[in-house]
Amino acid sequence: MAGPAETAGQTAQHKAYGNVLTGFALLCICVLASSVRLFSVIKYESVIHEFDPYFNYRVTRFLSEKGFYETWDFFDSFTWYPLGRVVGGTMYPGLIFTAGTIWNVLQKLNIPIHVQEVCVFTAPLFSAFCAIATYLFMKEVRGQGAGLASAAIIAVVPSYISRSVAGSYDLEAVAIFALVFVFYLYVKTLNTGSLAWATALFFGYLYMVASWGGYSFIANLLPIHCLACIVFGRVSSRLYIAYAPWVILGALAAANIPVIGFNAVLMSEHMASFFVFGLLHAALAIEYIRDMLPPRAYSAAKKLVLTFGTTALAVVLALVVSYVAASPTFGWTGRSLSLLDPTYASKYIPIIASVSEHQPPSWSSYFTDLHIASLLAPAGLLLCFRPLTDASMFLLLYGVTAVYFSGVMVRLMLVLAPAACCLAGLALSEVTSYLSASLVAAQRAQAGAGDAEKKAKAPSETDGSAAGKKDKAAGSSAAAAAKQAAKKAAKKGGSGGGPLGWVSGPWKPVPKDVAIVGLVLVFLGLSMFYRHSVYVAGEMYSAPSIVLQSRRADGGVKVFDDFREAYAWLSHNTDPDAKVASWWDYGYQTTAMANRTVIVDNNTWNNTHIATVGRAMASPERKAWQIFRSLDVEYVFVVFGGFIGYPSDDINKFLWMVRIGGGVFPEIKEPHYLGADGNYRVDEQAGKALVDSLMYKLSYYRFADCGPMFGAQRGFDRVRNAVIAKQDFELKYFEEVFTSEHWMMRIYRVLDKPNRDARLRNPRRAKLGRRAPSKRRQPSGAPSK
Amino acid sequence: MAQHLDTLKEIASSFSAAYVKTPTKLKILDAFSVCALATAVLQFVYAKLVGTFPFNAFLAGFFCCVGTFVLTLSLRMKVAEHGGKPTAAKEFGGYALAMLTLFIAAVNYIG
Amino acid sequence: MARLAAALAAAMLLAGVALAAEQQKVLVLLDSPSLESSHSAFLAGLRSRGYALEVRPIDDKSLQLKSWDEWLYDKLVILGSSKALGGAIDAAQVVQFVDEGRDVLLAVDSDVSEELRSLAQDLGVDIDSRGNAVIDHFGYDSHVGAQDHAAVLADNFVKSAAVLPKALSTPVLFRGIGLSVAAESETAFLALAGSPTAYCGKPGAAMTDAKLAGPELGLVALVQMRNNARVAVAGSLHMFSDAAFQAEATARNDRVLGRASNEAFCTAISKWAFQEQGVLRASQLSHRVLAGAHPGAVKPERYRVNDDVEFSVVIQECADGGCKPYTAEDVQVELVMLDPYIRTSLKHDGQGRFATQVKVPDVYGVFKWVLEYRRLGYSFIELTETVPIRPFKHNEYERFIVQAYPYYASCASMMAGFLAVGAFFLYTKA
Repeated sequence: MAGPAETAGQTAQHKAYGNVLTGFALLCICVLASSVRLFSVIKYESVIHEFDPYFNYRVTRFLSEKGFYETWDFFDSFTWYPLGRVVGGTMYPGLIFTAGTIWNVLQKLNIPIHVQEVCVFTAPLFSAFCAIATYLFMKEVRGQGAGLASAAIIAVVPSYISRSVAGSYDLEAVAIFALVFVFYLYVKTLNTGSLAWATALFFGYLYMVASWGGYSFIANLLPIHCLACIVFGRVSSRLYIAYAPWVILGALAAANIPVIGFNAVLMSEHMASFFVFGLLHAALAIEYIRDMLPPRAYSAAKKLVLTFGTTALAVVLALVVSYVAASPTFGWTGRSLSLLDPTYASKYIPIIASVSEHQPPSWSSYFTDLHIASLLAPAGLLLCFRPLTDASMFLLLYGVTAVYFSGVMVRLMLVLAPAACCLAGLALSEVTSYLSASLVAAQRAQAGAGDAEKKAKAPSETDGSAAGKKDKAAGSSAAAAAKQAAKKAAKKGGSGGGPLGWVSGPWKPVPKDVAIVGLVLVFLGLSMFYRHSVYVAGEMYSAPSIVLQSRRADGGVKVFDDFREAYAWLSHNTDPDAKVASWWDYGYQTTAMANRTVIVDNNTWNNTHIATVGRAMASPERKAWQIFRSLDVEYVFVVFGGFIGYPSDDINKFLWMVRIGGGVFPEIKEPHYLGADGNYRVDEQAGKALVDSLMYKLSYYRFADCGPMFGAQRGFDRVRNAVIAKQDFELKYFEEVFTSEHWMMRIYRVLDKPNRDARLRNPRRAKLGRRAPSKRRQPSGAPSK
Repeated sequence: MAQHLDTLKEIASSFSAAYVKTPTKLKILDAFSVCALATAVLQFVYAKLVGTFPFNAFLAGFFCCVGTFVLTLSLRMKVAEHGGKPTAAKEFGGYALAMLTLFIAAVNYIG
Repeated sequence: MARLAAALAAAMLLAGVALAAEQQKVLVLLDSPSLESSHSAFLAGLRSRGYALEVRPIDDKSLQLKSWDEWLYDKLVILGSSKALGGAIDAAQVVQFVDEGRDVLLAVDSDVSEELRSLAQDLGVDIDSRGNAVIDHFGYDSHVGAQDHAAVLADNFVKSAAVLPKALSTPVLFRGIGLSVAAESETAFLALAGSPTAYCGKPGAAMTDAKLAGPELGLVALVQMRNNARVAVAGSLHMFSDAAFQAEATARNDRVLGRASNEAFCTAISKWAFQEQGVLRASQLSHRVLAGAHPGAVKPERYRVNDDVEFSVVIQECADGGCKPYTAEDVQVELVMLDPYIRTSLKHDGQGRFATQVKVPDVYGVFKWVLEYRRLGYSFIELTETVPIRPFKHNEYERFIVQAYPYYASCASMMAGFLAVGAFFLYTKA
């Protein structure tokens, strides 16, 4: 029989082995997380994807050339001509400065990697860090087991992969890591109550605020959690130390970043944190006074406060409401309002509504993006209650709010991903621990019947000991858990306690066979998850939208590199000061790859400027020529997919141009561009305004001449599947200068003002007779023989 | 009304009687917190009267004071929990770190 | 001696080469060979101004204006009537000639061919229908136009010092066809218009309704293209003839008004058309910062908001081969970003340097200096210079604002309090 010292030694040895295994498992998880995101580099090439990353890449390139100081003050005269853009004050600097720092460090170590490679591989690197941060977070919430399971799931969850493949150099690449890391620091501060950790939380939050606009999610989640703690009587000094310094230091941190600046205290998105700040002080003050005063004085004070306090509170509330109501959007920014009211954007701000990432997700996308995490997460929600600690309540609230917001916009599935992974990891680790503990118990039961009960407690202790430390401050958990169970929207959990509480009561192990089958099933489920994730990463999320691929009839791959071909043409064949106009989708790519000034780009900060370009595209040729000349535009390009069947071309986006242009210039009315039956069509029943518009002319100029090549009718558009209305026409004010190999990008030159004023309106003009035909000359200019 | 004033006086006297019993260290911290809060309120009133022209300076000064108040209160709570001296110095280390960070952030923003 | 002669010969050769290199080649197309003798004074005048004339018939089959990619002539004079352009020249090529910056003088008469009419229309001048003539029953010249009143005395000159530096006192004798220019044309204008009683119609036929009459009836039109090429279109061949140069202007009642000013007018017209008169040249456009981010920087890459800058340009007026400083008070410059934010006039110093000092607006963006000077008869000046204007850097704002002293004081007091409390906390045994 082992004595207490030997048991302690055994436990220590177990712990040591456990730590080594944990470290090794984490290393494998990091390598896995990075490698699964490298498909795009292997299948295509090391190139920056999509649109927004090109802007980040361009600023990073600027940073590598000019340094951090210049980038902070960077005024870009290359975009939004002629308004310019103060990049230093309107970008989130986190990602760019991170990549710049990495590049600088590598340069100093004499590793001469080009800054583009650093940008491409930043996302996989930070996904590995995110896995580590998830492990740390869940270790604080429940234990090492939960941490490892969550890290293993988040390493390959498809939703996160979709925004962080190698080449997707966008803000979310570092922001999700920062998000989870802030949560870890918050929970750590909550659990330890140490001001040093509060300082670390400040630095983590500073990095988060610098990285992503989604920091307002944290800025509202933490107050919700604090409020929940106050309401359920979990106020303690640790909560105060975790929350109150964060409010002040976090507001200062946010104010220091120029893009947020004064909004940190002025915008409604941050009001919740200050409100709960006040509530927390009130709650603590009440407790303090209750401790200090004798009971009679305390009840008298309570009565006094209630009578006078309510009036004071009403006055303050009225002030706040009047301040907030004074602004037309109640102090919220448009994007935040569209989160609260999903129909807001489609009614008032067509630009926000037009982005495909802002549409609500379909049900199937939950499963594709989360797979097994979406199945295990509800179980994890239940397990948060057993036992309910401050940290597990935080995880609970995070999960619930993330589920709500992910239902509003597809791109917010990304915020749900860590929550789902953590909850799923929790459930997974509990299930696996239970099953393996049952297995161990069954083995020991075989070895000796009397030791079964005691030995069964041992594994539960080693697993529960880590979690047990966290629950000391849990207070009245049973009653509070019952109240919170009613609060949950998702699943109706049973009341606390029950046969599987880790700290309380005996638990019954399942029979050995059941345990083995259960473990095998868990293993199968996980392997299906990994297989699905790797498949999705490879096939669905690795495509850089700048290069397209399709399968040929003989099984080979055909590559469409039209975009880069056209940008290269622009950069080599046009004057460096030439201005290029196009729809705003392509602005970042044009400035980064073609290196030319653009009129509007993806930042979409000036709606009127975009509406001007939309109006030009929707106007007849002469009016469009005038508008473009007033903007000093020399080249205009459109993206056209009718030749090869590429569906995201400008003709399909044209109705959004009409809507956005019509939002500012009322002479553009959408019904004029629709056919007689109210549908958007390009055949002979197309709207007259559409056929006259510049977009139609620039897309279909000379298109009819190549139709017969496919054996189709003349002028057959392969995307709209119709024969176009007007097939042969001339351009009077534009000149076609370049069309890429598959007709996907078509570049036109805006003709100058004519040198002569020939044939202006002159009522005194006498008609000409027959004009003389022009002469034929020899090539040398001499008269023909 | 007079009744309310009487109850108020009674509450105040019982409170001050209980307060005298707190240790000196905690009383110093309390005084510092109240000072910080008062400075913050003064700044707020000043900004309301004169206008918020250098808004960043106002925010930096205001948050510096409120942050000091919060951090000092946190230190007080922790010291009160432990009661004795031996751990006081260790906690002060975290407090000093947090205050330093607060000062750096405020001075950077004050312009 | 021989060496001296050789040196002299070499010098003369060089001078001759230089002169020949400087001499501009003018192709003169004549409708009929007799025009060479009947218009000898005009052609001699051109030669005396230093042009190398090449006189050919208008329907010569070997005419060639362009060889491969080079123009063979610098200027073109067409004294045409009904014959078509021959050789390799056609109306489109003459238009191209003008579009590439070279000047044309076109004179026609009532018998004008459709080809020359369409050429003139492409250049911006509308010549009336063939067979019409300018008739004035009250202002005709009684020597030449007694029968059909189709020779008029015109004195409605354009009021522009660039075209006619010296005002003409006697009218011009004109016999030919009328023309018109569009009212909203920015390039074409009338140098000589009809008097209120003149009209363009068929001689001898009665007309109750004339489309082209009065001051809108043009006799000589001048066109200044946007690339500063110049075209002169005259409706009369007779106007340029020796007989007209020597004619006496005799009014209706045989009152002699003096020698007709055809010679002076035609010389002025041809000088204007051949860029010897009224040509403005702008050069040395420069701007510098007087006070601001980088004071003293000349032609900086960008300004900062609220900088004080000075903009200057040198404008010269070239006439008769020499350039002298331009003096005018109405030259303006704009600082434009979609709309002009600043528009001021430039002050000149008498030496042709126009300058002004402005304070850059408090708006950042990509601005342009735009100098557009379009005056009747002068060549166009269109200059732009793009200068972005950047906002303040983060370390260029004012510091230590007096109004913010309480905030600085509060921060300092917090720091002092922290130090005091810390010292007490750590080093006392209370």
